[in-house]
Amino acid sequence: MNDSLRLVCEAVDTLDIDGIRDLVQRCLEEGHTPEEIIEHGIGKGLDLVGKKFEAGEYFLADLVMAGEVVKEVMPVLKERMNPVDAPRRQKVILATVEGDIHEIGKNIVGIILSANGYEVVDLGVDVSAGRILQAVKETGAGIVGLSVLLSTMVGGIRTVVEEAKAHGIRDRIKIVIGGACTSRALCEEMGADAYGENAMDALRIVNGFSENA
Amino acid sequence: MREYTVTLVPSGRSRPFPEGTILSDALVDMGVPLRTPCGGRGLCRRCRVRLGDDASTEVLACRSVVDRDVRVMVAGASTWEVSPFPGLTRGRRLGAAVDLGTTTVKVALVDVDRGRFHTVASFLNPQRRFGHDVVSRIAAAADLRARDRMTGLIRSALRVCLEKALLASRIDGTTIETVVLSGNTTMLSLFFGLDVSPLGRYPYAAATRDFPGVAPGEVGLDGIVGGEVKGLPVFSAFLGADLVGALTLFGRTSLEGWTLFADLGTNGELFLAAPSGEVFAASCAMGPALEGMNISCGMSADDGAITRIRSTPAGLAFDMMGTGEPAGITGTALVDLIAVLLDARVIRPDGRLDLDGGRGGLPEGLTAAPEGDMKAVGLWGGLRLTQMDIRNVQLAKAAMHAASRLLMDAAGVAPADVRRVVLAGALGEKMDLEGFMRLGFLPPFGGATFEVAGNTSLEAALTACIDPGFAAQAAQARQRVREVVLSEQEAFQDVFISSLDFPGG
Ligand code: B12
Ligand code: FES
Repeated sequence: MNDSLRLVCEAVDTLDIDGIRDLVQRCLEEGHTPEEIIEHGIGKGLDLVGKKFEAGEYFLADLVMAGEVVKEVMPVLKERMNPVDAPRRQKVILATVEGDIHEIGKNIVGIILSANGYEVVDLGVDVSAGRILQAVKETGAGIVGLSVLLSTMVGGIRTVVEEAKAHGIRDRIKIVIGGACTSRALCEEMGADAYGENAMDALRIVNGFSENA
Repeated sequence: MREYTVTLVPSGRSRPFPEGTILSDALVDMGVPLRTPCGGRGLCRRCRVRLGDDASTEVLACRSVVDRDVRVMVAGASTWEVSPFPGLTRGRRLGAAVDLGTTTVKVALVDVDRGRFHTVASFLNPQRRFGHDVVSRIAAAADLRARDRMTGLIRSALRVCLEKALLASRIDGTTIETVVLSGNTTMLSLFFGLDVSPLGRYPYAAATRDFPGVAPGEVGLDGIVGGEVKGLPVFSAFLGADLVGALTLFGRTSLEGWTLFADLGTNGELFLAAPSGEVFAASCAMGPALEGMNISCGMSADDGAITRIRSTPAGLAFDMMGTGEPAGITGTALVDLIAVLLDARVIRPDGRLDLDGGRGGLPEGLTAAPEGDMKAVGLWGGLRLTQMDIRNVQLAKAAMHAASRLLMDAAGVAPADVRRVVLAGALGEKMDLEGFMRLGFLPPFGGATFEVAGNTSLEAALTACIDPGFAAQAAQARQRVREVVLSEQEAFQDVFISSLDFPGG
C-alpha cells in the first residue's frame, strides 16, 4: 500500500487526533481521492481499532476517541467528494428499544457507522416501535439498528418486526440487533435479520446489506 | 421432551428430570447442597460426583447433563457445610437472619435473648441458573413456571440450610421463632412468591415495598419455623432492604458531616446522608465481577480459592483455602492482584495489559500467557487473568465510581465535604480498603475516614430478629430517602466513560 495512506491508517489505529489532519491533507495533495482515503486509510485503521477492541486491548474511551479522530477529517473529505462519485451509502436508523435507556453501545455503533460514511439517524433511547417506523417512512432508511441491553426489554424487537409487517414495509428494511443481552438465537426468535456482537460487527453487517441493496 | 430419572445413592430417593437438565441443577433441585464455587464453569472441580451403583465413574456435575437414567453417589460429594453455633442449647429463643443476595446467600442463627448470633452458612443462590443478575431473573420469571421454580429453589435451599444448622449445633428438632430476610427487592419478591414483572418494566415500580410476617407454611418452612417469616422493607425496585436496612443501622448512631455508604454487589447500592438527615440514594449495575463470576479465573471463597494476594520482597504470595493446586481466585484476591499489577505498571491506568516493555515487568512467578489474540497474565496452577477480566472489573468499578460522583452532584457536595465513607457488602467484609481505592472504585475524598462495615444487610436482618421494632424503624428511615435515578442523569455517559480508568500510579 501507498505510504501516505498507510500513515493515515496508522494514525487512526493509534488514535492520533493531532496528526491525522496533515496526513490526510498530504494524501489529497498526492492525488488520492477521498474515497481511496476513506477505504484504504481510515477504514483499514478502524478495522485495526476494532480488532484491538475485540481483544480487550482498546476499551470504550478508545472507541469514542477513534470516532473523534475520524470526525476530525470527515468534513475535509466530504467537501472534496464529487457528489456523483460519493458512494451512495444507505441511511441507517439507530435506536435503543422502548423501556431501555442504555445508549453507550448504540452511540459507539453510530460513531463507527458515520465514520465509515453512513448517514446515521439516531433516534435516541427508549424509542417506541411507532416512532421507529415513522422515521423509516420519513427518511427512507433501509436499515434499522436496534440496541437492547435489558433482557426484560427484548420484546421490543419483536414489536418493531411486527409493526413493520403491519405497515407493509417489512421487506423494505433490514433489522439488525445488538447489545449485551442479544444473541444470534434471539435474532432468529424475534424475526430480525442480523445480530451484531460489537460495533465492528455492526459495520460488517451494514456493509453487507448496503452492497446487496 | 423425554424425561430420565435421577436416583440418589445410598438414600434411593429419585426424581424425573427433562433430558438435558444439568446434573448439578438436578441435584440442587433434589435438595443436595452441592457446592459449585466457580459457578458451574468446569474450573474448580469441586462439584465432582460418582455415578453408577459401583460409583465407578467420576464426573463434574456442572458439566454433565441428564441424558439417561442415572444413579448418583452423593455420599462423598462435596456439599456446602454449615458451621455450628457454639454453646447453643435447647430451650433458647431462636431467630434466623438471611441476606438474600443475587449471587450469594448468607444465613445466621440468632440467640434472641442473649443477643448473640453466628453465621452458619454462605452458599451460591441456586436461582443463578436463571440468570446472573436481577434483570435476567425478572426476565426469566415472565414464564410462571420458571418463577415458581426460582421461588421453590430458594425456599428449599433455606430450609435445608436451617435444618443442617440446627443439626450441626446439636439442637435439631427445635423450632426457630422468626426468620427475617434482607436483600434486594427482586430477591425478596421472588422468595415471597410475588409478581416481579413490574420491577423489570419502565417505570420500574415496586408493587410491594413491605414484606410483613407470613406463616412459615406459606413459604415452605413449616415444622422448622414456629412463628413468622418476614422481609425488611425496601425503598424501590432497585433500592432494596439491604440499603434501607443499612440506613436504619446508621440512623441509630448520629452522623456528623456527610457520610457516603457503598454496598458492593452485583447490584451496587449507595447512599449519601447529610448531617441534616436528608438521604440521597442510587443503585448501579456492577455485574458479578467482584463475586468472581464473569472473571475467567474467578470463583467464590471456597476450597481451592485464592483469597488474598500480596507483594513480598520474595515475589507474590497468596493465601488459599484448603490445599492442593489453586482452582480460582475470589473477588478480594482479584482486587489485590490488579492493584499489584497496576503498581508494577503491567496494567496501565487505562486498563491495558502491557507485557512487553513495562518498567519492572511482571512480578516474580507470573508469566505472559496469551489466550489467542488476547493478552493474559499466567498465575499459579494454570490460572490466568485475561485482558477481558480486567475490562469487566473496570466496568464494575466505573459503575460505582460514576454513581458516587452523580450522587454527590445531585446532593451538591464535593468529595472533600464527605467526612465518612462506609463500605459494605458480602465482599466488603474482607475487602482491602487500600486495594479498593487503588483501583478507584470511589473517587478520592480528601479528609474522609474509611470504615469497612461488613455485611450490613445481614446485620440489619440480625438486628431485626433481636429488636422487634427494627422493621418499623426501617419503614420510617425510608421516608428520608430521595432516589437519584442514574439513567435520568444527562451526564451519565461521560461520567461513566471517564470513570473507567484506574487512578494513575
Ligand atoms: C453503563 C450501564 C448503565 C448506565 C447506562 C448509561 C447510558 N447512558 O447508557 C445506567 C446506570 C443508566 C444503567 C441503568 C440500568 N442498568 Co445498566 N449497565 C451499564 C453497564 C455497566 C455498561 C453498559 C455499556 O454501556 N457497555 C458498553 C457498551 C459499549 O457495550 P454494549 O452496550 O454491549 O454495546 C456494544 C455491543 O453490544 C454492540 N451493540 C450495542 N448496541 C448495538 C446495536 C446494534 C444494531 C448492533 C449491531 C450492535 C450493538 O456494540 C457495542 C460496541 O461494541 C452494563 C454492564 C455490562 N457489562 O454491560 C449494565 C447493565 C446492562 N445494566 C443492567 C441493569 C440491570 C440496569 C438497570 C435496570 C438497573 C440498575 N440498577 O442500574 C438500569 C436500567 C435503566 C434502563 N431503563 O435501561 C444489567 C442488565 C442485566 C440484564 N440481564 O438485562 C447490566 C448487564 C449489568 C448487570 N450485569 O447487572 N446501566
Ligand atoms: S462448579 Fe463444577 S467445576 Fe466448578
